[in-house]
Amino acid sequence: MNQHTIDLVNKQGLQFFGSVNASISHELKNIFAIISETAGFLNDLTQLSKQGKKFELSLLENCSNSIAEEIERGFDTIRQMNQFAHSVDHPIKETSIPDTLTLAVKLTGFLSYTKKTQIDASAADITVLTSPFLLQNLIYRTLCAVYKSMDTKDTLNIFFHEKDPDTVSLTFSWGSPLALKEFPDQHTTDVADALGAVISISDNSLDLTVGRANDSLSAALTGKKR
Amino acid sequence: MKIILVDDEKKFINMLAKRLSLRGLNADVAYSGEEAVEKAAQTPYDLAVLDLKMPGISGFALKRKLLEMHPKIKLIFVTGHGAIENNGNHDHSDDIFLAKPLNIDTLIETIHQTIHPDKQ
Repeated sequence: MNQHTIDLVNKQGLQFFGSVNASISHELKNIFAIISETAGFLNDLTQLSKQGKKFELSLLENCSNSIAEEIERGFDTIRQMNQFAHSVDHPIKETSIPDTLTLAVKLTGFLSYTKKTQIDASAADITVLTSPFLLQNLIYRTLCAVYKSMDTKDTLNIFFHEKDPDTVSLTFSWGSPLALKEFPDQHTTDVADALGAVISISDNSLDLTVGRANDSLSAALTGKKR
Repeated sequence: MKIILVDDEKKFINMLAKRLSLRGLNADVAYSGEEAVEKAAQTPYDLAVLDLKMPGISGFALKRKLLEMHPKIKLIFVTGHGAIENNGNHDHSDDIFLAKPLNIDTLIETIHQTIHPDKQ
């Protein structure tokens, strides 16, 4: 990996970071909008009560439950934001594939074009020694491209397994045959190259093959050789 | 005045409809662009309050469909985004945008100004 590639990936990384944070802020605004309207409705009920008008007590209960649910949704969102923010703490580390997939699916869940997605829960945890942030970036870009092309009613299934002792395979599988639009683009190719990942696409699935370790990436990002 | 509120955030749109109703403005709700098109086929709405970003038909795409069905319909966009994204080569300079969270009084004032611009 040369300096040009590192600079390119760093620049794209910043764009990726900004893009994810924008979608999180959008989600938080929606949550605050619901809490705000519910608080406003409680105020409306208070004014009605002051005028001697009666209303069902269940309305108050519903409002209180709704606010509690939205606060929990907000905490969930902030937990994901925090987890994502910490993905830049270590340039290279042992990174869990299912944890990275789960976070990427949750983060893309804030996008308007997200689709129903299931990650194979039966597989044992697999880790790779890589850049968690770049891997998150590659999976996120892959999910976005697949979601944009998928039919609204289809479900995306994600499987992962150890292909051989040195590589891990992540398979994104959808129902109807489809042609992914403009994927992989240059940004995705750059990130995949930096990770040493290979992207293979067929009509019904997409495979990401990632090395269990990437010496050139480790050396480039940490300045150390294993 | 026939109003439809369109947003995939069901709780938000339901609560907004209740609050408008308490202020004498009855509105239908739709949780997607597709549902809004179905309802607009049955009812000649005077005004639609649309979320910009929705799964399926986006707010701007819905605007085009609603205007095809009811050329005189007035539109107000509601967005959770800090800045308005212009998706595609469409001129949105005449569109009205309100940011979430909404102020109910501002929304009502905007509704009246949009329906009766001559009374400003």
